[in-house]
Amino acid sequence: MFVRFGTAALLLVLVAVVAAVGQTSDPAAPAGGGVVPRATLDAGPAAPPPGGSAAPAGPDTAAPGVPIVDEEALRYFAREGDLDRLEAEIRRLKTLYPSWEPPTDLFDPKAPGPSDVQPLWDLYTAGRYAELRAEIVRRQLAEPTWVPPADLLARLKQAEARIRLVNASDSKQWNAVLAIATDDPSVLTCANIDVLWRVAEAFAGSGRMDRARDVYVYILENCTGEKERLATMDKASALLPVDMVTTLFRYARQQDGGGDEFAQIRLNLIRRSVGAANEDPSLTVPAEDLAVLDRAAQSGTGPDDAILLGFYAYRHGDPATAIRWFDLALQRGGSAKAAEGYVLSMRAVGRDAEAEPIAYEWRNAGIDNLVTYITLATALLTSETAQVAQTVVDRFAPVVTEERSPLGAQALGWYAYNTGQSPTAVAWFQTSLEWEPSEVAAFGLLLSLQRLNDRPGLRQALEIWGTRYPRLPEMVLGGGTAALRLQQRAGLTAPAASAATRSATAPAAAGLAPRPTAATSTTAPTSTAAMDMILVDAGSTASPAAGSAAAPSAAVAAASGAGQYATCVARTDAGMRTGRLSPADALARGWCLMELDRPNEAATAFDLALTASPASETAQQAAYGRSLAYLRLGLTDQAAVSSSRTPLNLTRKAELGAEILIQRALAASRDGRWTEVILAMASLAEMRPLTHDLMMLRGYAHYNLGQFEEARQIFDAVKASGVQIEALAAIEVLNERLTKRKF
Amino acid sequence: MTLPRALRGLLLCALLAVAAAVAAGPARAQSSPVVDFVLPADVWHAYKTRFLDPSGRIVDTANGDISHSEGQGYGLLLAYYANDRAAFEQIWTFTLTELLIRDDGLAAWKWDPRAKPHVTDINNATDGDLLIAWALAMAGERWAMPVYLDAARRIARAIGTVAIRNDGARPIMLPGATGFAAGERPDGPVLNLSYWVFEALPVMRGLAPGYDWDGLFQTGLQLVVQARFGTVELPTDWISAPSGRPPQPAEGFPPYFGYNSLRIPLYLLWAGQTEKQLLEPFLRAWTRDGDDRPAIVDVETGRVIETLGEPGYRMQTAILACALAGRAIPDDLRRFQPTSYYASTLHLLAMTVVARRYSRCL
Repeated sequence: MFVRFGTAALLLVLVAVVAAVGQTSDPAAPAGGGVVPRATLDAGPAAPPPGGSAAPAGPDTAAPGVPIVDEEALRYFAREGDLDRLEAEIRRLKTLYPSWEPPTDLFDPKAPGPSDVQPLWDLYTAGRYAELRAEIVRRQLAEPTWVPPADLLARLKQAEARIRLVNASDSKQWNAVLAIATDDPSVLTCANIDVLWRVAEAFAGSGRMDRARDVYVYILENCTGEKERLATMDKASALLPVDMVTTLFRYARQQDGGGDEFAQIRLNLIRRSVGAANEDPSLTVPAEDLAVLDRAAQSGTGPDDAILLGFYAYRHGDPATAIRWFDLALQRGGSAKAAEGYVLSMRAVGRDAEAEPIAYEWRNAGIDNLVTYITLATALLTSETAQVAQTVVDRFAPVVTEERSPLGAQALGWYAYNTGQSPTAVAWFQTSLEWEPSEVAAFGLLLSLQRLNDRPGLRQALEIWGTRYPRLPEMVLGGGTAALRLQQRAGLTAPAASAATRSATAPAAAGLAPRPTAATSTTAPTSTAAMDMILVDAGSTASPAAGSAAAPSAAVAAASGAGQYATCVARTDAGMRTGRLSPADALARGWCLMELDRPNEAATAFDLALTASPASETAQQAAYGRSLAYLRLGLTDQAAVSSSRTPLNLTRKAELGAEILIQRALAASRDGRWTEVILAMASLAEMRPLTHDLMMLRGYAHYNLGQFEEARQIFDAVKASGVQIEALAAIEVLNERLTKRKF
Repeated sequence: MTLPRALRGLLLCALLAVAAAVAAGPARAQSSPVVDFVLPADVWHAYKTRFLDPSGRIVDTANGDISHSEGQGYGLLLAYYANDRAAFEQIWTFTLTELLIRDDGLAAWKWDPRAKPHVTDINNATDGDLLIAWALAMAGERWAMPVYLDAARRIARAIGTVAIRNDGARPIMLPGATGFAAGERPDGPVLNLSYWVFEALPVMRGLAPGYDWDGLFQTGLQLVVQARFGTVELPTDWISAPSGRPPQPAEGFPPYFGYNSLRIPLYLLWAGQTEKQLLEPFLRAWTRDGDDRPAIVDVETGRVIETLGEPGYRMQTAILACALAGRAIPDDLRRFQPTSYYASTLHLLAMTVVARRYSRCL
């Protein structure tokens, strides 16, 4: 344990540092911030020569072969029966004087007895250094020729330096620590490993990481204690950057049973790196390190390493591998984290429906699990393509009620709305609003009431929510005048029964019928076709993520650009959860989620992207993206809300506004809401000339409302503009109708 | 090293005999002759026994047995005046290893035996630093100890660098490295007049010539005259002293002439400053109604918060009356018996001052 070499090397480190401290300090104080005058530092003899003694009090005049050795301490330790110190002292003297042999009479009762310095050694051993100092002075005053043992003085000085250094270190006075160590380099030995650690900490604490590393290297090269070496690596791992710690592993010693002594520490460090890379997916871990952890995970029995590797795979674009790790973790009694990772990974490969049972099972394991489950179920319920099992809906509703999840209630509302169960939709949207008012839920409520043709209810809801969200009336009713007319017609009082149906209790889950199959969808119209059209358009006009918006981070861009939408989502999960995702990355995530048919989450991602500066291309694309997400949710009209929320540039705004009007008109025509078709066309006509198709649509709307004169004028105009066939056909129909009517 | 055990009722007459014996020695200053003086061994022994822990720390018995840099400084000074080299070394060992651990070379001010780490506030107290450096300088010179002199120089330089500021018109001395400067408080700089250990400042000039110690001395005298608040015309312990404006009681501290300020007359007299203009308000406040007990006073209302009857405190009135009115030191105050740490320390310091400069009152 007692090491004789290397101190000089460490001293060089310290000298350099204190010199640097001196340069930055006040010129009026030549010693600088340290306590040591520079002259002492620069003076060679103050430092033991290389290969010299770690104890500063070695006799400097002893001729080789005939050493004059101070055996006072040795005999003292023998008398005291302090075998540890005795042994250390023998080693130390052997190191200083290789030809010296320990006396054979150390334990002989007739050996030289306690000298007159015995009381001083007693004080030293008891750590009573101030009293020892006082006693030395007293002795010197009483006996002017008396000289205290050099060995005792050296040890005392070292002990005081150690205490002072520890005190400075406890108070985080890093420069003082380094100055004390420089002043008394004799404390820098493996026997005082705590002091070495504190010196390293002082370097690290004052931002000199490379110097701290040098101290750790010094320890690993010189000190042999097994526990101390492990503790050294632990301390280095806690203070140094990971890449610096990695460089320390080369000093590992091979163990008898194979493997090196730091295998476990290295593994922990890899775990730390993988954990960091899981939080920040732009970080990667070398394949070699991953392989080490992989082996540990395979050979171990616990789930933790598998979970780490699962998240690493998930966040770094390999959800298939992630699923295997999470599966293993779950088999090994894995935790909530394992379940969460499993669900996320399954979703990343589009296996939402399959993941739902696990998500449901673990929903109460932690808040993340609950969020994961509600998000998943919400996505299932609002997806255009997923087939939702009735059990999914049935068991989701009680969870939503219990957790009072506004988002979950909205999902159930949209599900009901899109499956033609408008009264249930009304109830769910009202529940959502009760838990947390939101424009989206209010919008859903108004749409549902409108579809129910519940005019008193609609009017009342408009009064409440139209004030809070001023754009709503226009969005729902397609124009200010229409809303006004409706309000006028609705009368002044709402029937009590209507209020009762809107009581804000959560509807019973059993009230929700399954989503109609494709065959029956004509009876419960959705706007799927229209939205698909819009999305096709979006693809060609918006060119997501490839525009001139602020660039997303390279990894996210690569994933979304390469069509690896799941990877792109996985990479942005952590940032999304903490809200620290950059707007550019949030935008990319939104587009990826759209590709994965997860419009609900896409809307949230676009929301985050909208935190970009309002005039930026990123914000404009995000607003556009959010409109598309709303459209996909089955909410044609909500896209209009979205488009007015963020200032788009004029061209983009006109383009988007026009498309929304077209879709609104198409949707309304399918539902037979002809007035809305006409209003939409009128608005559109103010923005740009109507195409012949749209003029024809407008004409048919008038026709269906029995406004034949208006219809004829439009068909005539189309005919006059040269596109005759369709117009002629229409005119023919019109004439036929008019003829019949005459009869 | 055998000491008389009869500690009770020690007569300062013994002390006077010693003083008289050395009074024939050359005076150091014409205007205010200083005689060499050794604190009697019995008196010092009584003090040590009560307040010096074997670890070398001076224990503030009235304050939860904590220690502070000021106490260590007083301990070193008294050990020096008692010519007790061993005790000096003992107190110094503690001071060095436990308090002189700051990056800037100043002493941490507070040490608590019940806390871990013991230093509970790493800030310094500049008066503690001054006292320590001063004692080290005198001891280093008298006993030819280069180690003490080196340490004194380092501390003096650190005080100069850290605590002395020039506010544009004059040098000032911050009471601590952090928390008091103009930039750190709206009413900064906040100063403490009782941190002006006047007699130590010329010694600092010798240790660290690069700083304006003489100017600092003058600033102290000026502030003593300016910082007179309320009808009692006394300073508060903490004063706000912005450049170019008259000092005011500092915000956030009680507006008290408190325990800190008790030392101001002592430090002035120690340095031979006997002008009425400097000292009269203190004497007036402490001798009101025929009393001789100093008081803690609320300077805003004139209300007496506490009257201090320990001999060590009354001794402060006695040395003032001695210096200003030639009054003899009362007999009972010529004896020393330990009471609280602070009163006892002030008592021995005042004894020393009287014996060195005002022996006519004995």
